[in-house]
Amino acid sequence: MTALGILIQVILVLLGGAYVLAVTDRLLSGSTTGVRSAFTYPVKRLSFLLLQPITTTERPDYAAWILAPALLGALAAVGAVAVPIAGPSPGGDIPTGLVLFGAAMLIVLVSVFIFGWAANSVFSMVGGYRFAAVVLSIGIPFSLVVLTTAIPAESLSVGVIVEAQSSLWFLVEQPLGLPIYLVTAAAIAFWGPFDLPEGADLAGGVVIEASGVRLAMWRTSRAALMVTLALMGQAVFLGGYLGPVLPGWFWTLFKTALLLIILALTGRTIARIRIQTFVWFGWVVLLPLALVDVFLSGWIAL
Amino acid sequence: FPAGLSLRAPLQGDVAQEVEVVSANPIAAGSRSIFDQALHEPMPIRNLEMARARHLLEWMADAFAIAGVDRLALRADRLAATIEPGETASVERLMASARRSLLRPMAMRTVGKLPKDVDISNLGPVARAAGVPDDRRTLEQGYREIDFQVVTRSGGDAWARFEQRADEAAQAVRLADRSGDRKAFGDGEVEAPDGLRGISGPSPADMSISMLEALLTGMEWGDLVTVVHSLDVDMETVSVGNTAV
Repeated sequence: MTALGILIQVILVLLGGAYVLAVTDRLLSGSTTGVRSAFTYPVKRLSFLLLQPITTTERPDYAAWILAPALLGALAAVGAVAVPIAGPSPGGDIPTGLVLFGAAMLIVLVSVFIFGWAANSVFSMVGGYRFAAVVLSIGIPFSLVVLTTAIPAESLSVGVIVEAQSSLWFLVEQPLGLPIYLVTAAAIAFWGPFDLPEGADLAGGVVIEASGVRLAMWRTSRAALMVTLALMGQAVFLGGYLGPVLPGWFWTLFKTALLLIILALTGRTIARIRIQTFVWFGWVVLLPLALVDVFLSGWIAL
Repeated sequence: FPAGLSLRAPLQGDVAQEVEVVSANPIAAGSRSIFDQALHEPMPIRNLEMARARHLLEWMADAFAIAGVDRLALRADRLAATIEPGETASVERLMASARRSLLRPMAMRTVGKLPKDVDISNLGPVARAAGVPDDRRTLEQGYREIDFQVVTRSGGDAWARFEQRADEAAQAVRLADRSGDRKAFGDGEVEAPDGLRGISGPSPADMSISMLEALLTGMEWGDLVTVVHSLDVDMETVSVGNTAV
């Protein structure tokens, strides 16, 4: 596939996944008047934001405020490029796709912090600080569980990792992996119950001053980020495009949608965690569990 | 956050280094809720208890919204608008959903415990959540006839206050169902949803505001918001020009 083809494929998957996430989230919100309205809600909401006047603050950093949502969307796209959608790529996958993905996801910190800082507003900036604490607390366990999937595959290529699951998904072989991954992925995407940078106690945090196109871009980029995280989750733990009878692209999209629904459900049903509790949870619970995951996986590989 | 309450809280990161109550002005002086009316004349227990249940459910809705569980916030708001006397099962189901949402371990456990040397006896659910069994309703003939029992908890933190208010909301709809045409209060004091109110003297809101500076200093911002909400400061009953009682 050409570079342009890959780009179009990634954009379609990210936008399609973002739509599925938005519809699911709306259905779970309890505020919709019917299934049909949930399907039209994302389009209506996006149209509203695109037509809404953009408000501003006193002396914001305009350049950073515009660039941060674009950076977030770009990072989502870079992470998604590493995941094979329909099957083994004829030209071969990115040999270090897993590293590319991990790096892109951790740079999300920069994007969120800049977005919070650029508005020149107190709660917005506190939201940015909070996200720094969040990512510092879960960055290591997140990276560890993702990289652990490379041990049995003996490769950092996501395509090779998918093929290594032809007999048994890593969900079974590394049972701690997917739960830790989903928790840390939700935190990286600042999705409930880890939406600390956008908490109601901060009246919206990093998005408190955002409106119009800027907010639409931010929301769309965040949804795309969620899709990328689900896309990688299904590839490294649920066998990616591998599946019976139906084509590989179907299994990839089906499993991605499944993880997105789990994340949406969790976000709607569990209360937001306190930052203090979250930092404790990251360092005291998730990090040791991630290390156990690494040791177990290494022991099995030996 | 209570409209009309202004705090100055310099933040370092997420932590309020010190908290100062700048102003606390009533948002609607001379309001006439059923509890205000009950200060002057006996009111039907049924109406009092349904007003209490609605107030407590609306408070729970706000607590859910602060904790990011908008789905339950919506449900609590709807319940507050539609609840009928005797409908305790709906409140209990809402409370079960609150437990399943992990509200306690995620957002409220050990948050906002009050110092032991502070007199909280008139603060209604806040006091009863800390094990203080004071409730003006025990002195009312009408309430004694319908077997009113004071409900208490022992935790004294934000979660205990949440559970206490859920218990009291369920108890209120039960009492409303049993009360018939009995009336209560009318002699200058009333047990309102936020505590003991009188014609004179500081209101529960005044007393809560006087605790804020000592209680909130050094707290994470998220905890600070949770604690202020857990005290249920009714700005309609604040003394005019209050900055500290």
